[in-house]
Amino acid sequence: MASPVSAFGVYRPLKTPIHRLDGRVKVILLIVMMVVIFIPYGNPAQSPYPYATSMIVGAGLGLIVIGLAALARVQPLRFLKAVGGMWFLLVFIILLNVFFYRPGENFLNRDILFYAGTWPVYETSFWFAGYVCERVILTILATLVITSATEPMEISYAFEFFLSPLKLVKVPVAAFSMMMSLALRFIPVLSTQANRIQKAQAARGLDARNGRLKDRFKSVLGLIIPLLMISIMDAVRSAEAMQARGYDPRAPRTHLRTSRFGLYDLGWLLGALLLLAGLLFLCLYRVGGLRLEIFPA
Amino acid sequence: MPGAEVTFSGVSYCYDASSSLRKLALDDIDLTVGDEGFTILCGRTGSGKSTLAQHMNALLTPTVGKITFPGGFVLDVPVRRRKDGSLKAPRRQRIRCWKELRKDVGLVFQFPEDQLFRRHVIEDVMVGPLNFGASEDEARRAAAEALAEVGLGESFFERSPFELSGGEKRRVALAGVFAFHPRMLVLDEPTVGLDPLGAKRVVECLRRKVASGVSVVLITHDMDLAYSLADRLIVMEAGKVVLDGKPWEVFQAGEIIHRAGLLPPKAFVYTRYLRSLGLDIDPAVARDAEGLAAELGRCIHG
Ligand SMILES: Nc1ncnc2c1ncn2[C@@H]1O[C@H](COP(=O)(O)OP(=O)(O)OP(=O)(O)O)[C@@H](O)[C@H]1O
Ligand SMILES: [Mg+2]
Repeated sequence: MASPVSAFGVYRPLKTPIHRLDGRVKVILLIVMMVVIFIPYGNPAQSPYPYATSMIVGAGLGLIVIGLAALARVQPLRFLKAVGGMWFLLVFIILLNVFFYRPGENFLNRDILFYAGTWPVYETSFWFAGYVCERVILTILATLVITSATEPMEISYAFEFFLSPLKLVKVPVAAFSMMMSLALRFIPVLSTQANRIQKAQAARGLDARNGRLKDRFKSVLGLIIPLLMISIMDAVRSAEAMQARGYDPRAPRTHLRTSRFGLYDLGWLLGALLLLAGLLFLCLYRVGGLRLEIFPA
Repeated sequence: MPGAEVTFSGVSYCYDASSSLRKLALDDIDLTVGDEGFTILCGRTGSGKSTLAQHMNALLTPTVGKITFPGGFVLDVPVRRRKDGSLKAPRRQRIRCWKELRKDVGLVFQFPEDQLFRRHVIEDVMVGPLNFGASEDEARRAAAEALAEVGLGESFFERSPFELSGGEKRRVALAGVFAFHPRMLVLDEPTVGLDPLGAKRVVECLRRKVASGVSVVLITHDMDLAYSLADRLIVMEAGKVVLDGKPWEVFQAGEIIHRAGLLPPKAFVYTRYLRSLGLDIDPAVARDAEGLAAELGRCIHG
């Protein structure tokens, strides 16, 4: 049953080139992907096709994400579902931008496509909306790929590793990392719970799958309170169980599996950094004070 | 009121059919349930009982096979296989008359924690009647009645279902389904977590339902309960039905019972022993301590 939380990547235990990577490298890879997805390219103000340069670079990044997904053996269906699960957000973004984004005074393309009543709608707004949607989709997909190939534990170790310098100033990094791994652990739990509650609703005549749109709406609204209550109670139970088994947040922690950073990981790390460097260059390199633009005026 | 029936033919169900983690939980089930009072479903944990139960009101739809529901609605899923012969996920099944179907077959899940979702107990129990077309007043009356049936008084009405004890939650969950008077009840381990008297009360309540023509399908690990209630006993093992019949006959198959992870109930063991001594104990009566005592008394005093 489709649930609102199922768009999150849930770890799948497989053996793939991505799964085998050191968790720290995967986290860096994800961060690099986020950065290069979000930095601006080209020069929208000075182009007849504003944001087209960014969108083309984005398409290239899309190919990279698809490549990573193929390597991590993410099913295409899950890819589509993740995007499909966000249609509401995307429609919202498009409407918001189309009607309320205004190209600045310095924009070359200030063509008004049509008037909604007396309200002018600009061509540039559509470009911008497309650009924002592309970035959102890319972010979700990149996250999906990495989270479906990285155990939650690995992610929390990675963060503990990156935060470990803070131990010097007495920040309880290990406790933070434990909190984080617990929080990550809750994502699939939450999605399972949502499914179960929706089933219980369906058994008593409120079916989100077969019912009308109104039913679907009621069903999702009806999830909020029980999910909150169940999560809080689950958290309390987990805490009690940990205390019962002698968890001490101040005790030094050992790890069940220590990963070793090898040549293979180094290769991927260098690749990620190279991608970052290349695209940062594209973003920062300026000719006559302007970024490189594929479609100059 | 005619009893309601659900008929399975060639039904298999595979969890996560589209992924490599697929797990065959039902394996080619042919079965008709309902219409004979108490049908009890047993089998070791993981044998597929809960999965089967959720097919009875189409909360789960088969990966392949045909199910005929009480209202005459038929769900027929054609087989789709991969090249290696394993089952492939079916196309999405839309169920047109799901509302009638869910009203006909009431299902109480195994885990009561996950099936209460409103802020107050009374509101939660009213969900069913309201969704099935009752007015606010009717729903409130039905809910109060159902809660009384499971032994929860007015002091519970305004409490949050989330802060109840496990046994209380289970009773609210039962009331939530009793409240809309389904023609068939499917109950997944309804007496787990209830105190003995509370469990007895629920069983009495179910007996009344059966007497009034409702068919009850009950899943339980409690062999004594199963033996005392069953008009028909079905034993599952690894997604298949391995035994099906009158309880006295089913437990004769000691070998299969043992392999299915079950132990014969006390009443059965005593009856078998006493009969081997030549006493004419009627197994149809000697289904629990009281019945056995009565039969023994009859044999001794004539
Ligand atoms: N949501 C699920 N996803 C994947 N596999 C599942 C799921 N639910 C059940 N299974 C698997 O399907 C099989 C049958 O499970 P089912 O819950 O029907 O067993 P059961 O007979 O009800 O057991 P129990 O007596 O413990 O309740 C089990 O092997 C179980 O691991
Ligand atoms: Mg079960």
